[in-house]
Amino acid sequence: MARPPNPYTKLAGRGLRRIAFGISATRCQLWLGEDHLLAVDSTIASEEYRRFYYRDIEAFIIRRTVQRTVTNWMLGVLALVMGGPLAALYFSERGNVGLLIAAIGVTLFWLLFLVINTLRGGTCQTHIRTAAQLEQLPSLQRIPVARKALARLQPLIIAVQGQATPEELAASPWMAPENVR
Amino acid sequence: MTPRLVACTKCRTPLPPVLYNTGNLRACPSCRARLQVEVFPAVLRPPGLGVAGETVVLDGEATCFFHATKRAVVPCGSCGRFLCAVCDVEMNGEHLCSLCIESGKKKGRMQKLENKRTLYDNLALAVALIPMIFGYTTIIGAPIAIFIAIRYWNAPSSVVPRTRWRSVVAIIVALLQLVGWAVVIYFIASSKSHH
Repeated sequence: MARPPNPYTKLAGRGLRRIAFGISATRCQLWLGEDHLLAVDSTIASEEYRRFYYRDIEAFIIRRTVQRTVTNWMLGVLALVMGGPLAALYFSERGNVGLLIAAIGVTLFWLLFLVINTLRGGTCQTHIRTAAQLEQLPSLQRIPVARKALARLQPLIIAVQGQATPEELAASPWMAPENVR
Repeated sequence: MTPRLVACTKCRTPLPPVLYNTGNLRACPSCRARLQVEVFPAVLRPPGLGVAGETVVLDGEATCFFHATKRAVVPCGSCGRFLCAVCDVEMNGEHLCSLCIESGKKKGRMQKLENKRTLYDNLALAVALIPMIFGYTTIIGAPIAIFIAIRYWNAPSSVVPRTRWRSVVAIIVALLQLVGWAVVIYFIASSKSHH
């Protein structure tokens, strides 16, 4: 007997939910369903699900983080620390081409990661807000990926909720000056 | 009314609405973190108020199964019990009582209420592969991996698309381990018989 078609489509991006000291065993993914966004947290033996219904989503917040810059600095320092001494040895023992090749190879190895990290785009933290919760989406940790996900999610939310016009936003009670700090 | 402004996710300061739906990263006025905030009409919705069941006023009126003094408004779509406005839970256009929801959740009949599933295929693969680190522990891990893979072959897997390749790989790896052990035992036995 043929299985019924699965209603979910995967959204780009995957990430880890940090538990403590940067250690995590939980992998996070997002899936688009018919009427909800499904956040899946997987461990080795189980999966946990959180459903955000399109009708309930109030806001989608992307915040740029400095993780990419920090990682680039670390990779740059690694390239320098590992390639530098080999280059220094080459210049002190002139003619040893092996040392030069090793210096260039090691430096390029770390610089390759630096370039990849740079090209993947800025890092961010993404949150989704409903009336009941503000939930982080660890799978959306790069700005281009988060924007891509938002571009797919937005029409689905608008199809259910409609679009908030600037006039509606301006007329809402929370636009009152006492609510704006 | 409670302010429902979206707050900065770093410093928790409510963000002024001029920063909403700009399509770009804008600085938080408090901590200067760069944020993009997309707001949807649900944020304009006033907080929902709870309903109280109507009290029965006439004799012979149908009452709620769970609240004998409240007027029934709808029967449960699953068990047929009469429900008042408090006990009626609407789900996917169906009216259900809390007991049916609870039993449906336990029996896995309501996929939308499920918030956890065990991945037996992953478990079988882990039991087949992890003991290989120590080598000799595969003699215990392999039969367990085969048992888990076969026993839970038809068990519901993830709610998102997923194939059975993990179970297949677990069975193949575990069988290879068992064949390996059979060969080792055979050689040990045959070398002892020669002596």
